[in-house]
Amino acid sequence: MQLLNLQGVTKRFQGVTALNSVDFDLESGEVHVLFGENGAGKSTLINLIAGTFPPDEGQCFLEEHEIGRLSPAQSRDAGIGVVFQEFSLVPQMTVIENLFLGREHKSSLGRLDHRRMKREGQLALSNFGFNVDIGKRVGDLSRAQQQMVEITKALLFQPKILILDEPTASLTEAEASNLFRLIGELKAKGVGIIYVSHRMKEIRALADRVTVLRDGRLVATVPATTVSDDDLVTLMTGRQLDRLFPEIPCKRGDVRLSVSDLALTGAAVKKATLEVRAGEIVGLGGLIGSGQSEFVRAIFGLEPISGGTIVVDGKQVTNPTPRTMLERDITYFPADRVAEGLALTRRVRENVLFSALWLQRFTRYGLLNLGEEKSAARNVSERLKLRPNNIEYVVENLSGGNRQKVLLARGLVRPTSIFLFDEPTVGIDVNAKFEIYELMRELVEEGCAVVLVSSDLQELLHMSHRLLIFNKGRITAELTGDDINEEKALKCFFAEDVLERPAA
Amino acid sequence: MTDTNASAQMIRTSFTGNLPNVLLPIAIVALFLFFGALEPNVRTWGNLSNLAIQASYLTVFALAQTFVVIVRGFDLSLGTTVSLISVAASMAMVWVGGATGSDVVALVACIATGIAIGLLVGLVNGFFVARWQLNPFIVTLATLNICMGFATTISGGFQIFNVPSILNDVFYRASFLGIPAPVIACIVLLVAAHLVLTRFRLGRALFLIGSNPRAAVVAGIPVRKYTVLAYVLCSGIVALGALLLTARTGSGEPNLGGNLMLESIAAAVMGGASLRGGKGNIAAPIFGALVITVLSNGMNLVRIDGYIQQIILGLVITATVALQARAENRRSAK
Amino acid sequence: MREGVLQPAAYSRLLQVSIATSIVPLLLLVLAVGLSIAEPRFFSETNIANILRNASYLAIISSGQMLVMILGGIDLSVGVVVALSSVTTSIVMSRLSALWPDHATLTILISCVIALGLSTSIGLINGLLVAYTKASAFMITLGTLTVVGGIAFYITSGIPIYGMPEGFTREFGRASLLGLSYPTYIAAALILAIALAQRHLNIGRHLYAVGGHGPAARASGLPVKKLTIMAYTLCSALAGLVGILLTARIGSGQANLGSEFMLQSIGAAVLAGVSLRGGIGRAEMVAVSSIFLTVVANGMNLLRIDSKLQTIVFGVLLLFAILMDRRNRGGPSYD
Repeated sequence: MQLLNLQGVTKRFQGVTALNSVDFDLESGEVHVLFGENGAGKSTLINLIAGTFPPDEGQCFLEEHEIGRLSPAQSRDAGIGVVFQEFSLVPQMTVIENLFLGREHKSSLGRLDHRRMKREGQLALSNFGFNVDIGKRVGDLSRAQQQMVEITKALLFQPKILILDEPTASLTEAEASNLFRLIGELKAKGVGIIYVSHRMKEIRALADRVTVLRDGRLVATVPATTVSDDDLVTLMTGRQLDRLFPEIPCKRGDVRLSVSDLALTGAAVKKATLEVRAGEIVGLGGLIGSGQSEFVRAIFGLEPISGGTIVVDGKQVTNPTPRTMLERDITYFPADRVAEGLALTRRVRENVLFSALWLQRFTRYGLLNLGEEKSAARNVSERLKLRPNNIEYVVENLSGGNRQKVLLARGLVRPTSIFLFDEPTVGIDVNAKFEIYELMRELVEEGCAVVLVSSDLQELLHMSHRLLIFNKGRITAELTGDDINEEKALKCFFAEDVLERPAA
Repeated sequence: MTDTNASAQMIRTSFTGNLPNVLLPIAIVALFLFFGALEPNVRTWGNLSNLAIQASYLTVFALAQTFVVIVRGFDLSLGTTVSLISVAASMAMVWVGGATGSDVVALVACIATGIAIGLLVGLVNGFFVARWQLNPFIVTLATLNICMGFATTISGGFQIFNVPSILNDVFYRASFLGIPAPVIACIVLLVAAHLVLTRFRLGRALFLIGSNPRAAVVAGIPVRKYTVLAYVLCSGIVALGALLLTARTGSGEPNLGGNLMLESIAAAVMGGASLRGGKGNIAAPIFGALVITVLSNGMNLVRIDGYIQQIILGLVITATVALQARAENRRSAK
Repeated sequence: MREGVLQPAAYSRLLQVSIATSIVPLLLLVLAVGLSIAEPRFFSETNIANILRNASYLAIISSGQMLVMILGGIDLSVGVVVALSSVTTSIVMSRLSALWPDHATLTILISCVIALGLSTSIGLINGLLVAYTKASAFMITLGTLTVVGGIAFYITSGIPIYGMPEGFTREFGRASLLGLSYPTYIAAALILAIALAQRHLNIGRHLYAVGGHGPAARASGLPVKKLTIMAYTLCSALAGLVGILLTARIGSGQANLGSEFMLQSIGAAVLAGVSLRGGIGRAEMVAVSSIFLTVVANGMNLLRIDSKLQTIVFGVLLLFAILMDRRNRGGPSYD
């Protein structure tokens, strides 16, 4: 039976078309994988189905009844359960309060039936094999535990359609295989499952059909059995992988940045050591939350350090702050552009000059040199092919790729020779990605040192000259040359997990 | 997305997004013409000058408020700071005037006292907001009460009389090229503020901090220092405004601040400064203050009941704020 | 898509156990003991009843303010709603009792219902405006404050209104039961009801969810707009009730009644650990902090400390409260 059918749905945000006339359908008892890069429109599509916002065009049928606009409440009542990546949990509330949020059990007089909810919530969690304390506040849980609560919340009410948005992103292999078993059971019961992922292994294990999206358009819907991994990747990126990533020659120069035994106050990183030379790209990989991002943030003075030394060009930096690191020609490009990167309500020019306001070139005696500022902004705008090529544009109105370019431009207007990139290509389209890789190539050829933190494995594998793997806050492996491949890397991602288990 | 699409988008946002800059001047002129048509006295030079003086005071206070609003702040203590400065500066002036017998020295003492208190209040507000990252609403609510307490305590709750008339002569009666002193002071402040906001690193830093404080840290901007500066600038301007206002009555008034706290915020926000921070310019206090002043002046002259005036003013505030929010939502709809 | 995902570290900072919530009851105790030693009159029956009565008005209004603040909003118009309610009650009551001198109870009932209805509708307007325009609650209620304040003064011309039946001003306003005044019982009942609703009704839980993390609440299908409107409506209704109680107490309707409640209610809520960011706040704590503030004022009066200094003490207490209470650090976060 057909559970869901979308025909020609289109969604625009502020002139940016996030989803362009996409068809999608879901049968009962199937796992339909949504495949595509970040920013391809997967999230928009599942949000449409979940009722977060209505489509601008197109028709939606739920069990063959046409529906106009669904509110989140109606979508839930219609039996659609969603596991969001940005969790739909309230951090100040406990696990049990969150599990039943909006669907509380009530006893007589409308009183909340705390006992029943506790019993059922506990039962569900243990049925699913999730070990979470139901009395704890969600904000105090680890990301993996939050993920489990989010999954349980969606499953608690026997949905007919279950949407899972990268549900394994922060789960261990054991927890993930638990989830896969659950998915199998639901399938057998006739639940239709929409599964968003770009992990090949999971697609192979679960998928019946795969729908590939690229830049908001439907590329193809194919049966999982007849399509090869390479075909999928080509469909996703629109080009062969080796053409997406430029060939970057490595000419190692002097040691620019050397970090030894760095440890953070919150123990997100324990004794990590790293050396970066001019003219090379050092990739930092690992499961999300293994400490790689915190590590570069700490180097830039954004996380409190409890031990270790940081040496830049032979000089030790005792108390790093963004200010002192910028003065040493280091720039960090944060992963979260909206929260930490850009002043969205301000113009491109101001954002480009954001970290350059203390340079003699741009200010004298506190007075801004607007002429110099404009010409510098225009130059980088041309170099980075910013669209629209208008330095007075308000950043809020730019697409993800162009926002990222504005952020990267900061490294070009002030003298920077050590680049710390944190997820530089998250949420941007393929062309912008390509341009950013090209920029990295140029930088390395000019002799800059580059550190690249990424959760996109292909990107890490293809861009890194050396690949360091973080595992539970430590660097557990360094891959070079031919050892930089998916199999070796993934093995290291999970390696310590296996080692630590007998001890625990 | 094509380029034509993008430029169409830009044109659209510049209309809906900058509602105050496009619609407010039109509304102000329309209001003036409307009242002018009803009542000829509105159109006289005498009234225009009166209007300019009245608008100057509110503009100064709204300008002060704009500086903290830009960094996502608030200054609820503005009104009681005005009261405190009014009584303290008047008392200083009376005392120094009596002790030295020199009006000029007394005036200097008055100005120095006023500015010192202003800077102190600004420092306290800024320190608590920036150093401990406390909510500006509560911090300035606390200083509101503290300033009010001091103002009523040191004055005993009574007006301060016998203030040397030089204060009134210099800050109220004096004029240059026929422009009254308060208007001149206001224009000078506006020009200075405009330069600070658009041409100086200070202003740029304030906008960036207000737009995204965490990003400002990542970009190496000394966020705490500049946040404190915003509050100090705000209260410094408030001090000047308080002296101007005290000069008008020629006596220290423990209730001088009255409604200024709410009026200054209303004026700044109606003029287009966003409470979400990172947005604002000197047009905001000017337009905001003009709307309020032209409206009240016109209603006064056509003899609308004072309480009805208040009701109408409130409705205008609500309507403007609601319209602005709609425009803002439409732009950042996601 | 890591944009917008809250990191666990950020959560736990939000969740640190509040010192203020345990410190205010403690301070209250210390203060009460200290005052009863310094000034025997403090523990007299009449003084305690007096404190509880005065605290009742503040506690009722502040618990309304708390509901709005849990949503992440604020209501500046509570003070003028008290005034409007007072003015309406007294005008309607005095006119009606002139018409039907023999039906005092009915007169009182009708006037109170009208005053409450009017107050509630002000809250409804606030809620609708905040929910549908998404403008800042501060500015919206600032507008309401101006309009409603104007209305209250306009209909009375600023003159107190007398002529209410004795049944209202004497029997209801001054009466007491077991030594305590009616408002004390009403406040206790209301606080109890709100505290129970916060724990045992889904509406209470949903308010926390909306204020705690709006997107999560929406994704969980909660009626965010409805809840917003409800909170503002309740807040105004409670303020309206206080207007009636105060009018009965002072025996006249006044357009400047309750103006101090705008700031005091916010202060009491903050002192009680209610977060301006939303998502946190308990009615019983608001009651405790209302009593605390009233005891401070009462103690200063008993010790003959200049009443003008009270505002300074209030300000210092507020600063102290937020310094103690990390959850209220709603300022720009740089770390």
